[in-house]
Amino acid sequence: MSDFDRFVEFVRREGAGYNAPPEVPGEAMWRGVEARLVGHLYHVPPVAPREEMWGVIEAEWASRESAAVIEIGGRRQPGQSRASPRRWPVRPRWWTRRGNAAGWATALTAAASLVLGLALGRSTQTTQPVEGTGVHSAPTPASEPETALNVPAAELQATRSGESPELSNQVATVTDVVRTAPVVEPSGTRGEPNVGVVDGTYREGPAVLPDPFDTDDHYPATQHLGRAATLLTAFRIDQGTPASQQDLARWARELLGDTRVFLDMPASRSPQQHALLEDLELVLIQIARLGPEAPGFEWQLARESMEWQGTLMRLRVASDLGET
Amino acid sequence: MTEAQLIQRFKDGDQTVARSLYDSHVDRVFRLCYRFAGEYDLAQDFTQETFVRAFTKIGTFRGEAKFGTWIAAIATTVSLNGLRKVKRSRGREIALDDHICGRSTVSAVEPDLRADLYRAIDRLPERSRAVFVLHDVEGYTHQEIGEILGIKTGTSKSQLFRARRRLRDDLAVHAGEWAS
Repeated sequence: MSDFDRFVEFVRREGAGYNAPPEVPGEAMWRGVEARLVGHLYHVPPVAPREEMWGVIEAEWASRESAAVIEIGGRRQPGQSRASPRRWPVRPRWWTRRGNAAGWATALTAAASLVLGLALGRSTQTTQPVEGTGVHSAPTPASEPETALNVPAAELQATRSGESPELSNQVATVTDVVRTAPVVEPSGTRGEPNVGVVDGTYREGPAVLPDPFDTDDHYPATQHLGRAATLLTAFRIDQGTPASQQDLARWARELLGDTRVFLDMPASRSPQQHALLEDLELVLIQIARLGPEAPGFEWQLARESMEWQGTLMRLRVASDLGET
Repeated sequence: MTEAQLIQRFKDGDQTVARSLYDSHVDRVFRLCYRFAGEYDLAQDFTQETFVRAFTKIGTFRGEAKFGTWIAAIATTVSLNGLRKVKRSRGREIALDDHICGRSTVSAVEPDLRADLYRAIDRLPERSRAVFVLHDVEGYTHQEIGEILGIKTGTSKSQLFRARRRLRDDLAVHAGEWAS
C-alpha cells in the first residue's frame, strides 16, 4: 500500500468526524418549513395546461382573422362564382387602431408648433437689429445687377413676361424686399459681413445671432462656465451634509438648463467647446440627481466622472481664457 | 404508497404528503447541510430552505433521478450559496475586527492532526470540498455526485483526487502520522 493510499484511508476514516452532525431537530425544522411554505403553497398553481390553452388561442385567433377578411374587388363579375373570392386578411395597422387618434392629433399639433416657432425665430433673427450692431441698407445699383436671389434681372424679366401677372408680382415683391432688406453686421466686425444681403446678393445664414463663444459676445458663456467651475469646486470639497447636498443638487439643476441652451446654440459647433459642454452636462446631471438619500457610491461616481474627464480643469481654463 | 406515488399526489395538489416526504429525507438533508455549514443554526436554515424549494419546485422534478439525489442537489446548492453569503458578511466582520484590534488572523499552530485535517478541508476550494464531503464523508458515488453537482463522473473523480492531494500537501508536516 502506497503512502497516498494510506493517506486516503486515513482521510476517509477521520473525515467521518468532519462537521459531524448532531441529532436532527426534525420537528423544529418542520415548523420552519411550514411557516415558509405558507406563502408559497397558498393557491399553488398547478401545471399549466399548455396544449389545451394553445388550442383555444389558435381557434380564437382563426375566428377573429376570418371576421376581419375583406373581399378584394367588391362586385362580382358576371359568371364569377362566390365560392372562391380573393380574400385577404386585414390586420389593423397601428395608425388605424382605436385610441391612436389622440396621439396623431398631439403629434400634428407639436409639428405645427415647431414649424411655426422655427419660422418666427428665423424671421426675428434676420430682421431685428441688435443693440450695438451696425445696420445699413443694401445699395441699389443703377446698372444691371444680380438680384438678391443670384438670378440676373434679365432672366427675371423674362420670367415675368412668360408667367402670369400674379406670379410676376410675387417675384417682384420678393426681389424688392430682399433688395431693401437691412444688412446687419456684428459690432466690431473684423471682416466682411458674411450673411444677409451684401451688394445686392443674399447670403445664406443667420444675419444676427448672439454667439456666446464668440470673442465679441463671449460674456454669457464665460460667466456660465465660471459658475459651473465654482459649482464643481464646491462639489469637490463638499463635506456631505444633507443641506449642502440639497443645495448642490439644486444648483446643478439650474446650471443644467443653461448648459443645454448653450449646447443647442450654433456657437458650440467648435468640437472642443461642444465636448466641454457635453461633459459638463453629464456631470451636472449626476450632481442634480444626488441628494441626501443618494447612496455613497453615486457621489463617488459623480466625483470620479468629473475627475476622469478633467471637467473642472477644462472649465477653469475656458472661463479664464474668456475673461482675458 | 411508494415515493413516486407520493410525489405524483403532491404534484396533483395534495399538500398533505409533504410531511411524509420531509420525514423520509430530512435526516440525510440535515446531515449534508451540517457537513457543509458546520453550524447548527446554519444547517437548520439550509435544511428548511432546501425543503421549501423542493416543495415549491416539485413540478420540475421529472423522476429521471431519485428524489433523494434531486433533493441532495438542492441542499448542496442552497448550502454552497448560503455559505458564500455568510463568508462575505463574516469576512467583512473579521477584517473590521483585525483593523480595530490589530491582531493577526493566523492562530497558533494546532498540533492535533485531526484538527489540522478539518481546517485543511475547510480551506479546500468550494467545488473540491463539495466533492470530497459528498464522496469521502457522506459516501455518495461519483455518479450521484455528478447528478447533484451537475458535472461529469470523470470531473468528480479528478476533483476528488485534487482535493486529496491538496489535503496531503497541507498536512505534510504530519507526514507518516496517518500511517499509524
